[in-house]
Formats: sequence, C-alpha cells, structure tokens
Amino acid sequence: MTTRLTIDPITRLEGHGRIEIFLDEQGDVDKTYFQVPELRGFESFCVGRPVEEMPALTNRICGVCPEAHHLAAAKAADAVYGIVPPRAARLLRELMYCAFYVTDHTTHFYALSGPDVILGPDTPKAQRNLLGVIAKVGREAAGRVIETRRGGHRVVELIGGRRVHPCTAVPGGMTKGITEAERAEIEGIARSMLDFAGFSLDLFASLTTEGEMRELLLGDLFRHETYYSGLVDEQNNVAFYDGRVRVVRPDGSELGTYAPAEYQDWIAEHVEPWTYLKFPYLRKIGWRGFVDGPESGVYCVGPLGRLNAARGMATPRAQAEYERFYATLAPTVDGMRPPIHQRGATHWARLIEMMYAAERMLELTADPEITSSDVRTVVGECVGEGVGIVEAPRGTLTHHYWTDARGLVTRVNLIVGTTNNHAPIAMSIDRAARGLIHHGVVVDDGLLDRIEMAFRAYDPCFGCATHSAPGQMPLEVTIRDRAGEIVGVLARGD
Amino acid sequence: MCSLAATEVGRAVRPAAAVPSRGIIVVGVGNPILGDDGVGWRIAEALDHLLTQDPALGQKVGPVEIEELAVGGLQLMEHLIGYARAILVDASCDGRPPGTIWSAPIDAQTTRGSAHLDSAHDVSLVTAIAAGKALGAVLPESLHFVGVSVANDRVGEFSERLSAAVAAAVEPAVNVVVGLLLAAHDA
Repeated sequence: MTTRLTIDPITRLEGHGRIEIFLDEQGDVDKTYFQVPELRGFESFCVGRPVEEMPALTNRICGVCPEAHHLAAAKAADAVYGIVPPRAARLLRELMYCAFYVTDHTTHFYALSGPDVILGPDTPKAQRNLLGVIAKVGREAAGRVIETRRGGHRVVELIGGRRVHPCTAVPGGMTKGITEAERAEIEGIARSMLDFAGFSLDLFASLTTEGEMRELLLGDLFRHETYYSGLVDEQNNVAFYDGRVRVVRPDGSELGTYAPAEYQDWIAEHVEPWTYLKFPYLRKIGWRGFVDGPESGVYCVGPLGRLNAARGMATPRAQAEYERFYATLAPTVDGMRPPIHQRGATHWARLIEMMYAAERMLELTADPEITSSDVRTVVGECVGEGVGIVEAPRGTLTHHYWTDARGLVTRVNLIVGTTNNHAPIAMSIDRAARGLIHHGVVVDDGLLDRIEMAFRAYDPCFGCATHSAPGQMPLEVTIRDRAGEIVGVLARGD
Repeated sequence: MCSLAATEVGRAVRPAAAVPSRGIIVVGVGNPILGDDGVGWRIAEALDHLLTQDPALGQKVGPVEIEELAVGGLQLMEHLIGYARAILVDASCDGRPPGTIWSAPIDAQTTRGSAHLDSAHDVSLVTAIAAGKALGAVLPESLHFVGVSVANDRVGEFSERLSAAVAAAVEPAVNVVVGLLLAAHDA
C-alpha cells in the first residue's frame, strides 16, 4: 500500500507550499513532491503600462524583497532606453541594496532559521520560536537584531524615499541624491551593522563546533553536487547589484559567464505536470531530472551558490571569513578550491554575505561621489527590449521587458531568485525524507522539522508560508492510503 | 488605466498636525495589486476619506493615524511601536462567504485567517509583539482585528480591482472601524 504524507502549511500570504511524501509498501519513501502555488496574470497586468512604472509596480509582487524587484526593474528599464545611469546613481542603488541585504539576512538568521540553528530541532516546541532565540542569545544581542533592522529600514528610507517599497530608482538613475548629513548617518548605521555581522559569525561558530547541530548544518544529510551560479564583479568576487553571472561546475571549475541580456542562452525551464512552477536548468548541460552531478543541468543560487560561483569577497573582513569557510569545509586540492555542497552551510554563507554587505556600505559611503547631485541621465530613444539582473538574497533575479516604440510594455518575463532553486529544494526535501523515514518510522514534529530545515536553508520565497519560522507555521500532516482515504492526521499549530 | 505609481499613497496620516502623541493607529494591510488581498488598503483609504470629509465625525473619533502597509510579522510590529492602541484591517481566508466582515481582539487564533498579520517571511504578529515587548519596546496594549473574508481563488491573481462582494464590504467595514474608534475614544 502506498501511503501519502502531506506537510501542508495552513497559513497563506500570497499562497503556500506543500510537501507530499509517498511511502512504499515497506514504509520507505517512494517519491517526494514539493508544490507551490502560482500567482497568476502578472504579465497581462503589466502589458500596456509605461516601462517607467515597472520599478514601482514590481516591488509589490511580494512583500519579502521589494528592493530586489525595484532595482532589477530599474536596470531592465535602463536597458529598454539603452542608457547607463550616472556613477553616483549606481552607487546609491548599491548602497541601499547592501543595507537591505543586511536587514534581510539578519531577519533570516535570527527570526526564521534561529529556531533551527540557534535552538536546534529538538528544543521543546514551546520554546522553538523567536522568544526562545531571545532567551538563548540574551536580550542585548536580540535587541541588536531589532536595531539592525531599524538601521536597514532607515537607509532604505533615506535613499529609496520610503521605509517600505522604495520608489526612487527610475530609468536613467535616481530621482534624488543624499545629503552629507544623510551620508554620515548611513555610515554610522553601516559601522553598527558590521560589528553585528562579526558577532553573528562568532555566534554561528560557537553553535557548530560539534554535536548534532554541526552534523545537521554542515554534514552530508543535505548534500548535492550541483552547478552553482551567481553575479560576480570583474575580479570574480561576489556582487549583489551588478556584474556578469558566473556558472561553475560541481568540481568548481568555470563553465562560463554571461551578461544579463544573454540569460536565455544559458537558462532553460523544465515543466513538470504536478506543479505550476517551472524548474530552470542550464541549457548547455540539459535537463536530466532531479539528480546532481556534472551531467545534470540543475544549478544552485543564493548565498551558497554565490560564494561557490565566485572566487572570493571584495572586502577584507568578508574575504577572511570566506577563506575560513572554505578551509573548514572544502580545502583546496591541487590548487583547485572545490565548492561546498552541504546545503546547511548556506546559513554560514549568509552571514559572510551580511559582513560583506556592511563592509561594502562603508566603502560606498566613503566614495566622494556618493553625495553627488548628478544622479539621473535623461532618457532618450526607446530601444524596445531590456534585461536587468540583480542578486536577490534568495538568488539571481532576472527582469526582462519588451516595449513598443513609446516605451509601453508589450511582454514581460521574470525569473525570481527562488525559482532558480526549485529543483535543488525539491532534491533536498527528497534527500531529507529518504534519510529520515525508514520502515514506517513514527512521524513526529522533530522529524518534520528536519524535513522543513531542508528547504528553510534556501530561504525560499514563493510568497508563501513555507517562509514561516518553525513553531510559527501551523502544519498539518495528512496520511492517506492508496485510495486517498485519510488514515491519520498529525497537526502542529502555533 | 489606473496606475499604481499614480495612486499609491504609502502612508496616510490624518490629520498629522492634530496628532499630539502616538495614540491610536489604524493599519490597512495587504497587497494592493493582488485583487481582494488589497481590501485592507481600500478600507484604510475610505476611512481616511470619510474622516477628512466629515470633520464632525473626525472630532468625535479623535486623533488617529492611518497607514496602508504591505508587511507583516516583525516589520508590522515595528510600525506599531509607540502606539497605545492599534486596529489592523486585512483580508481573511477563513472559509466564510466573501465579503463577510468580522472583528475580534488579536490573538494567535485571530491571525490564523488573516492574510498578512503572520508574515510569510518572518514570524507571526503575536510572536513579534511578544518579542518586541520582551526587548523593551512600547507596543499597543489594545490590538483589534477587522477582517473581510475573501475567497482563496481570488487572492492569487494580479489585479487592482476588488471582487463585487468584497468591494461591497468596504463601506460597512469602515463603519465597524469607526465604531471601534468611537468606543476607544470614550473608554
């Protein structure tokens, strides 16, 4: 008899994800499906609008990372008009974006993954939440989480015009610059953020020196030898706002790099009948199914994907942490630094990025042009097509617009960060389920938590409740027989 | 076509000059480009319009700040810091007929149906409030929820329009919020 387990987050924001696990007659995992809902009608919603509206419009797609959509849209709109914004505008966009990165990564590490990473999956349910994290790290440290978030919101407000949903990036640059007083305020915020990033990395190290947490986060339970992809600068260092996308093989060697406008030569999308969401893969390699290895075109993005796809970090303290990261988990062999394949290491990679973002903010605030009033190039003739790529915290975000000669949108294509990771996430859930369910093992909350951890490490954003923190996301596990009859229900509320 | 860029207000404060302290806040939460998911915004906008157009009523309800937000969890909590009372208005996926209006003090059970109070990206509002208080933030002692029930299949489609049933609930929902404001003013 086949038994189906459904892990179904009941809450909904812009939708919710669902995990279904089919067991075979022996009680072992037969197949695993990860399904997410589709937001419908976005393209038709955009068609006919002036392309200059897209930066304000697309940052409403999802409340999780409006800054990423805002800037990817602005870059695509720049390209539609065939213009490059003034350097000061590019610096301001990157400065705002780095502040957003620190905020987003802080939130994920402490509020979302904190119960996984800081408390551990075996902590009693009543304590596995943000309050438990506060109790563990102490009120002073927890207060710095809120302070860091407040600082990030403030920078977005100063540069982006609003604390939520920035509105100042437009085709050709920015609608406004910043004053010297604002620059100085941002510099102070950046210093505080950098200090907090160092504290967070030390905390992570102390939590993973030994024991089950080290095995869960850095062991092979969630290991996949895939390709990796992410934006890099001219020195192949990690970049968030601009650059070329670099793709490396599972052994770490470079497959190639591509400019945003070339993305369709590199990325293709596979369709499965059981989900609306597509599975992007490397066109040059091909789709071989949900398998890893050099023959499979599955690739991974996000913090771990970015660090693996790059050769280092562009700032000194982040570079030192980067070197410690790889020396610990993937030492260089014969001059080649292999990628880190353990997905649990994503948490560590995220904190290294947090440090880089804060250091980069300090560099940007020290640039003499950051307070320049030359922040916008007047747009000219419409080219009619443009692609903008930024690295969203959850992975490479691509906006592609087509317009008519007047700049009115005729077609839109988006590949959002998490979509790139759809296949790796499905593979990690399957791996976790196979590693944790044997011969009809009793399903309990601890087991479900470990399966959830498989996808939470990716920080998936389907605008869905899969994003909720453990202990906060009501779960219901429905066990069905082959005929679909419910034979058992395991519910977990908040 | 009604463009978002042209209509978005982001934050509405009424009347800003007449608010001596952060007493009471009404927040319409939702996504204004996801159909019925944006009903909280529409109610907040209509409330702002009503209180501006009817000074006598505005006088009765007293100082109130009105915001429209597309956030939940921690970020929503952060917006509530410093207020004595808060009324949150949101779409609710609760199985009731679309357009049903309901109102309740906020607790973990209330936020289950709400579309936005439990942010998908961080924690539930109830947990966020508890965390904020544990860290010393001044947060509302009185939190009330006004929900408008929406159909699940209406919130996944991009649109700036509300369905007829939900649109018809906007004015009655505004009246519910006004009732809560009057009661708070008299308390």
